Amino acid sequence: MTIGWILLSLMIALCALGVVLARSPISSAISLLIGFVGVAILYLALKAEFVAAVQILVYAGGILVLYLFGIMLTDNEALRLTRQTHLQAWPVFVLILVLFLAVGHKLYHSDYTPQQPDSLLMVTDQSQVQALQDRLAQEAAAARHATNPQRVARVLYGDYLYPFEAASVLLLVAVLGAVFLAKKEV
Amino acid sequence: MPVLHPEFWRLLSPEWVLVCFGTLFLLLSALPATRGAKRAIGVMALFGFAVVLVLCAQTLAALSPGMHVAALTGLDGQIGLTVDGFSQVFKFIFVLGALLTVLMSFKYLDVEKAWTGEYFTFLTFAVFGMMVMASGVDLLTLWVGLETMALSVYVLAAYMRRQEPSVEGATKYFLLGAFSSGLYLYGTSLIYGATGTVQLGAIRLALMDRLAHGGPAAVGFPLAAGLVILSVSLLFKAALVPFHWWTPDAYEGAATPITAFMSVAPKAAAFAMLLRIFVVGFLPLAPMWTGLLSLVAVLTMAWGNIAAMLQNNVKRMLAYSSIAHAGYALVGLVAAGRSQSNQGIAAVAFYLLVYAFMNLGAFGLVLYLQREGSAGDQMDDFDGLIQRSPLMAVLMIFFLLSLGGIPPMAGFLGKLMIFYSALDARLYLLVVVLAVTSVISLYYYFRVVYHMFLKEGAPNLPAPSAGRPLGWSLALCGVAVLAIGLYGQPFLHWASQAVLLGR
Amino acid sequence: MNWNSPFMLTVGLPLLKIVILLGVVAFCVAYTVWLERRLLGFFQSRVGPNRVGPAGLIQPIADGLKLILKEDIIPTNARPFLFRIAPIFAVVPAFAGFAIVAFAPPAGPRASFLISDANIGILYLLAITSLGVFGIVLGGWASGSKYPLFGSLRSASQMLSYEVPLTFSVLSVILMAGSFRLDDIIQAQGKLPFLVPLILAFGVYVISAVAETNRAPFDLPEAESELVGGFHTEYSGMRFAFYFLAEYANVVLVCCVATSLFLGGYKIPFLPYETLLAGNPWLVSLIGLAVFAVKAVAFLYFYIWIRATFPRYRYDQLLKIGWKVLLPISLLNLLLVAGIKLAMLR
Repeated sequence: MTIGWILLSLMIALCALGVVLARSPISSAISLLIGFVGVAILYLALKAEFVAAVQILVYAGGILVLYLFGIMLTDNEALRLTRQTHLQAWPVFVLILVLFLAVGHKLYHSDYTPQQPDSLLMVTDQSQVQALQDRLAQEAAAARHATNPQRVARVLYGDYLYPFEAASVLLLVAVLGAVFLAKKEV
Repeated sequence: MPVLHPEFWRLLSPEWVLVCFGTLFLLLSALPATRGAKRAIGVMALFGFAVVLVLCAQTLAALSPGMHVAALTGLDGQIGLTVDGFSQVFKFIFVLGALLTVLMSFKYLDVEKAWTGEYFTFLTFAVFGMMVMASGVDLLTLWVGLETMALSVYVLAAYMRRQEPSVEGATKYFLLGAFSSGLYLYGTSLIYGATGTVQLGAIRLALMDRLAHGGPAAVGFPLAAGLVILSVSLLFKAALVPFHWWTPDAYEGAATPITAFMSVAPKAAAFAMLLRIFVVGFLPLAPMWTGLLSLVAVLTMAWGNIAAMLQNNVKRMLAYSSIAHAGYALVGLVAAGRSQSNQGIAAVAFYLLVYAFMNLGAFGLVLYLQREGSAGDQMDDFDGLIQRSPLMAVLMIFFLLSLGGIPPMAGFLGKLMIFYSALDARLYLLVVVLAVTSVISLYYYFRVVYHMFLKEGAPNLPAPSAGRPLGWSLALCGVAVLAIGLYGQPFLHWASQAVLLGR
Repeated sequence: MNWNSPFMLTVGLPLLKIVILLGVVAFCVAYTVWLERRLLGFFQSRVGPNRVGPAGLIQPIADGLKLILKEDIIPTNARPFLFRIAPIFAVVPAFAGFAIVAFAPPAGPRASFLISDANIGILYLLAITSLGVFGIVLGGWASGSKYPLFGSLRSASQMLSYEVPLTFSVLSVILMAGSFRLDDIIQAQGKLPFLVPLILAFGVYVISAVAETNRAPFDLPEAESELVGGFHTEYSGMRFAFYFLAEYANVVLVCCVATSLFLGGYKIPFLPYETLLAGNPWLVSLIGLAVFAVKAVAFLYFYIWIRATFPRYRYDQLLKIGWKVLLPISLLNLLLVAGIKLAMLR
């Protein structure tokens, strides 16, 4: 199992490097595609099937195709031979490497424990605290039997209902903005 | 079947009413219509923002006086946002900024013949995003708000898409903004990895726990790195040095009312988010981040003021000046992190309110000078204004004095509050820098005055026309700048409602 | 051999199933081509392939042999590596989609007729088939010639556009069944196939599916009269066969999915043969398989019928139908279904 993890992580990391280092934008895009699929497999291995499917459906099957579209319509030889990075890249690379090693080292040696959400913080009445704790325990028990999509749904339409609705405004703005800037006359 | 509580609808009324208006403008702008009909959307936007302004004030007044917070619970406990005095005070500032912007837009859109319904739609949705930024209590909700605002403002910055500077500025803003948004998410992921949560309250508990058990060393590098990376993106949005490079270009290129809006409302929203994240979530780490932000504040005040001296374009000058003002507000944030009182937060809120009036007023004067074929943003455009329209020249002096922090204008009181809070937190270095740079700033503000009073204007230039909405907005700003300066007590009291829970 | 060892259960048995399924699908695909050619012949008042074997039944094998033996040409302008691997990008998703199709009721705890009982079922299918577009786009681009590029660009925008109404129509099915699993969806149609209550969604699904599989009347990516052969103009031999295989595998997949989502899968309305024959699980499975096959072939016939009947659309018309007709209809349908479902819950 560990070997699988290492191989998968290695694959994703190599693809990420490929995205940055490849000369031709198409190679970058294909590296990105394989990287996306690799991340999806990672999600699957973590038993987050829903996120895995969405990862493929949205990123690989949707966004990346649009990237390819853009690349193909703007493709020319000069662009393909242009260096995408310059000398500044090296110090930045060293900096990122240091950051990465430091973070990785710390994460590797830390005992990570997820914590309960802070619902209690906002409630002042003691009886409410008890009721809330009971409900959280109940839901935790129910969640253990729920399938992955059901659990995602509970979080999305429960805890994160408001940001979820706000995200619909965000997407509307994005679509509108793109259409507005691209259309012919004011 | 879960049903949302009626209280929920009442407390969030500014938000949903605003979204309803935005959607209405969107649908109306899809109809084929004449310019007159498009103007009607502008009038509706005015009405909409006025309604929402009242709703903001109402929800603020309705909060229980002792606590200034209303717990909002969804299906499973908290739903990622809160309505408290802090959020409502800031929402008021955003909506006020938008309202004045709409008033100022009438002349610009008339002169440029650029009326569309989308203009007001994006303005509305931008304000909605800011409201989420002021109310959110977890990093992801805050991000959604941030992006909603940012995307709307990118489009607004590129609104004059036939004009090259507009597109250039907006492109720079967009590219850097997209990058900073990515940084925000990366920082969030590091923080989530280190603490197991994105909720600010829980992050704070985790931090206190660690500090209690292992001292500062137990905070851990990933968390610290995450905080730094995350704050970079917020510093970018608030246009603080060294993340300010997009500001002059974006401000100069954008339509003037949009520039005015960008310099006030998104900046205030970024400060609301900075305050919420640093003072609620990361207060236990205050010794660390106050040092960092002090450095940023010093750089911002120094560079903003020095660079502003070199500008000949008034919009650019005001852009740098707005960078400097963000530096002053940042001093208040640092003070809020250092001292145990809420004074710093109230000072920031008050300063941003005052700044909204005086900066919008100054940009309004640029709009006043705008005529067909000229944006009215060169220093020379101000030549001899005192002869052409004395009233406007006097108003401009009000705004400039206020921006410079000269009594009896409101800007003086605002700076004073920042000053006090910084002294209270024993931030002597910042106090000195603030004082010195304020003096420097007088140089470029008085340059405009010099042009207005002592330079001779071109001989046969017609007197500029304001048009009624712009006139109203300028009058409102002028009166506010003077009134707050002379009698600031109620406004100070109002700003002091901006407290954060857990202080 | 010990069939109950953990290794056999987790690796061996699924692998065996995969091999069998691949073979069966490849066979079905070959004979779908034969069926199509015969049927088109009848629709057009001619005979169709009838020389190789009785009723031309050996024709697919002859065609396959011919394609394998043909020379594999790589044009000078092509980007060789991409040109070589692009067909694989097209074939793999088409075949991988079959992994979650429930062909028949399980004959026992370890004798189910589906490879993976993933709880994201149909979502997996949508995800994996959305990858098929890469084969076409990359193939068209890597050919280094004009017509394939245009074909692949057309195809990319077409498939992206039609994925949206397709997903929304599938979503209404998920809403009715309350699950992503294909087996659950089939079970939910015990009394009434979803075809009846979700007739709108079915219409949207059929039209979008035809567009997604690039078939007439939406076969613009390979419109012969405009683009020679579309994205596979430059392909020959085995690589061309791969594209051919992918297209028809997608057609078969669409038939299987439509059968599961709208036609009730292996269920027969008003005839609960599973409970009647509960003592004989293998018989139940075989009947189920037959029912499924009959429905799928009936749908396939319908599919070919569409091809024979409608003339090709113009490109702008195609996108207009997708965004301005199908999308609003599918959204309306979703809203309707959600409303009814909510009213029923109250």
